[in-house]
Amino acid sequence: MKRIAQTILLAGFVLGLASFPSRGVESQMRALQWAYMMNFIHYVSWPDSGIDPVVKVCIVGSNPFDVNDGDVKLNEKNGTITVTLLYDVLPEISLLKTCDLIYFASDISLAQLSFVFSGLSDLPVLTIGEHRGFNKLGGLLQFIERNKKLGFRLNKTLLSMRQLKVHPSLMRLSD
Amino acid sequence: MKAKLTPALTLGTLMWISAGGAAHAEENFDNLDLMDLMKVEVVSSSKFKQELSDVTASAYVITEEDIRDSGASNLPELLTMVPGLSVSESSANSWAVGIRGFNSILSNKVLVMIDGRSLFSPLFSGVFWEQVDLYLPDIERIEVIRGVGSTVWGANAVGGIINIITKSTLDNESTQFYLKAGDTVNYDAGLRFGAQIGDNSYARFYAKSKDIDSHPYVAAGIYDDWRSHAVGGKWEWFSGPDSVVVSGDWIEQDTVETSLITSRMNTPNVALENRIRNLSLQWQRQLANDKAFTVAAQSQQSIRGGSQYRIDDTMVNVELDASMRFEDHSVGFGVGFRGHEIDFMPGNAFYFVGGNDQTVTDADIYSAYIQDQWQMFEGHYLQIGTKFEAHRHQRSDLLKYDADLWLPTIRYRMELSERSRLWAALSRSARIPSISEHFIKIPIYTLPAFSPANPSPWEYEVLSVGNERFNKEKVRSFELGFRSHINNANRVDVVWFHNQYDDIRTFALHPAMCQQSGQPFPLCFENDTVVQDYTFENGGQMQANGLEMSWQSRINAELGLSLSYSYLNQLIDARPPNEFEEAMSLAPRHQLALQLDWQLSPELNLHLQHKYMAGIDDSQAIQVTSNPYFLDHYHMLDVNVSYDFAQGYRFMLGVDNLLDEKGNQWAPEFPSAHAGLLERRVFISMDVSY
Repeated sequence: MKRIAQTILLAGFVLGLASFPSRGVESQMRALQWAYMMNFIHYVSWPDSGIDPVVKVCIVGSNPFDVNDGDVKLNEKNGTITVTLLYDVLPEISLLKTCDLIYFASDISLAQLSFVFSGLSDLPVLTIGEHRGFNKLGGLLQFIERNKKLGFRLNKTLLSMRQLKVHPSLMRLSD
Repeated sequence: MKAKLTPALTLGTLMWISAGGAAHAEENFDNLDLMDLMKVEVVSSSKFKQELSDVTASAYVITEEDIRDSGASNLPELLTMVPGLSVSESSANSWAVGIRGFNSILSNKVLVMIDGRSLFSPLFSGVFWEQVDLYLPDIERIEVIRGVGSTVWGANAVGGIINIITKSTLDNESTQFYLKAGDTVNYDAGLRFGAQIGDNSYARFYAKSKDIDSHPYVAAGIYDDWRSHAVGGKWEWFSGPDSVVVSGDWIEQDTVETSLITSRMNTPNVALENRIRNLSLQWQRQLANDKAFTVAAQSQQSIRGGSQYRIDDTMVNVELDASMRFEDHSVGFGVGFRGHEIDFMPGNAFYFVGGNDQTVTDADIYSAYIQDQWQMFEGHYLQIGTKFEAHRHQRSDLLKYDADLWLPTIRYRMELSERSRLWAALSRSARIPSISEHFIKIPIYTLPAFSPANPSPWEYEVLSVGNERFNKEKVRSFELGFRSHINNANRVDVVWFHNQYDDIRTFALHPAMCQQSGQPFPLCFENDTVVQDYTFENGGQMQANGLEMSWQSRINAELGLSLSYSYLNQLIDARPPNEFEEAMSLAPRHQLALQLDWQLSPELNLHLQHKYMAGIDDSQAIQVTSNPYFLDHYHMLDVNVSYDFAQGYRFMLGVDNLLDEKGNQWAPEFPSAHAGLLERRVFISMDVSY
């Protein structure tokens, strides 16, 4: 009986402790990545962008960001509207072709990335991911960590073959 | 028990207080430009445990960061951090690993996989852990599934699955090397080189070598030092919907065995030379966004032997798996064949039932499975599936064993909220008898004539004799789990399970016989030998109830903490005249583990791991056997301090068993075998990648 009571005490302690709110470092990383992506939009020009462009942002895989399906966000800097579309699983390529920027969550496998990139080749879609080897497979922008800071690496070879225009300052900041 | 829990609770409370003080203020990056964003310090994403919310099983992931922080030289050392897993060091080169009971140096109810290649040997039913000598920095993660997983993984995944996944070659197009030395590690060194070797084609190659010193033993003249040398590589090619992976390893070892010693060996140490060669090929095609198939083929040759015996196990495995999604269903199905040809030359250490003339045994498995995950409605998922396996063991036309199995499971998961999941699973599985349990005689112990234990004038020998009638051990399992990401920093996992084992292995002692006269003891000739056989029987039942709780927290950017407790209550019984093998059935009732990662400065990191294992004694069994079994409780505290003095350069100082606990973690499963003693160990290591 005493042991059961001790077990319950320990369980209660663990659950009670776990429920104590705390700012997570994982959410810090994701918030940082999201802020990066919102910045990238200002440094990239899509072929059909007008004066007040609508940039369609898609997230493929388990959504790591604090955004919801259908969110419409107004960026205060220069009024770019971003539309967030979420897919829990890998959607049809035809749907992905309508996106301007695609973030691939880490649960999308390398084999699936290779498949998607072959379907999006030559299209002006900015593909972003944090998979190691993302750019080697044909991704355009890979998040990397250097000296405990988040950075990114542009696939400059492929970018030049797409119709995306990237501001030289973004090129300079690339790892 | 109270005294043992109190320090953990106290420490936990202190951590709670420090967590509150160190909690980060909300950071808003929305108005920062790229230059400012690039100055923000972050915690490496590899410190985050992999997303496990949607796994309908009791799962734990050992990350590459865990592996790097551990300073481990051997795979089983990494497994000590997993809640609910019992890992006991039995010698310098053998470990008893069990999940939810059944600790055994051959781990006969745990399935171990490397990139989909099963390491389960049908000869003795299990894994020789020292032969799993991987290049540890190339492991991406180790998934440990506690509980029955047979619908996907097949028979023998009774207690759980240890699934080792190595990194893609895209991950490490770089050079890496490490060097470790210490009290018991004479040296452990490795070098890996990765490169792009063509369009869409990447490869890496490694070489490693280690020399591990002997453990201390109670008796003099027992030693178990060993050396292992390995080379291997992996090549990957990606082209649109196709990806191909080829990998292979060649491992050569000279070891000294002390854990598996039969009485006829007449030595406490058996020198062995092991050679393991494997080659794997996998082709995956993504047919569409919702359809894919994989063809995989593996071959492996494992040679283990020395002056006493020799095992040459050649394995071929071929599998075809497919997956597709339609509407609310995700369906996976596949077929497979696995064939072993085992040439076992038993020497004087073992005997075959019916004589040693025929040494080759074939063991084949034909399998097929189907599994569907159905999203019934928003937030409710049902996973249902079954696997069929046909096992065929054959030594000759007369000596063979066939078993056909259906291994069904039904699993349900409910999303209580965006962050919390409740799940339940009902499964059935079985362990197929090994070849040794059917066809091999093992001399267990010998008592000389006129000795205190045997005052008769005849030598007395007890043998374990393979029993053709010994059949599969069965388990029905019910699990109920709750998993929650309470917030972005705290994750909780609680699992309760009830396992009902039937027909589990017991042994039955037969009347002693006089070998030469052929008469029952004591009607023996003058120079006779008295022989008493015991045979494996399906004479036991067990109910195992358990609770496993773990809490993982990134308290702040500097501090990570995980705490786990597992409780296991085993009620076992054997139909007379059967008796239990406690050493291979019982596991500690209580386990408590604490793991702490503390970044003391940008360069300095402290990694601490403490584990308490309760003792084991016969009171856990309803029927006490003739050989009382007892293993004392122990605490194991490991502390590592690492210093990253430049990008990619790490120095580590580690102390294993800081409390200098004495005694054994494991009690021998054979009377002639020996268990190494615990001792404090210090090591230093250097790890460089560029």
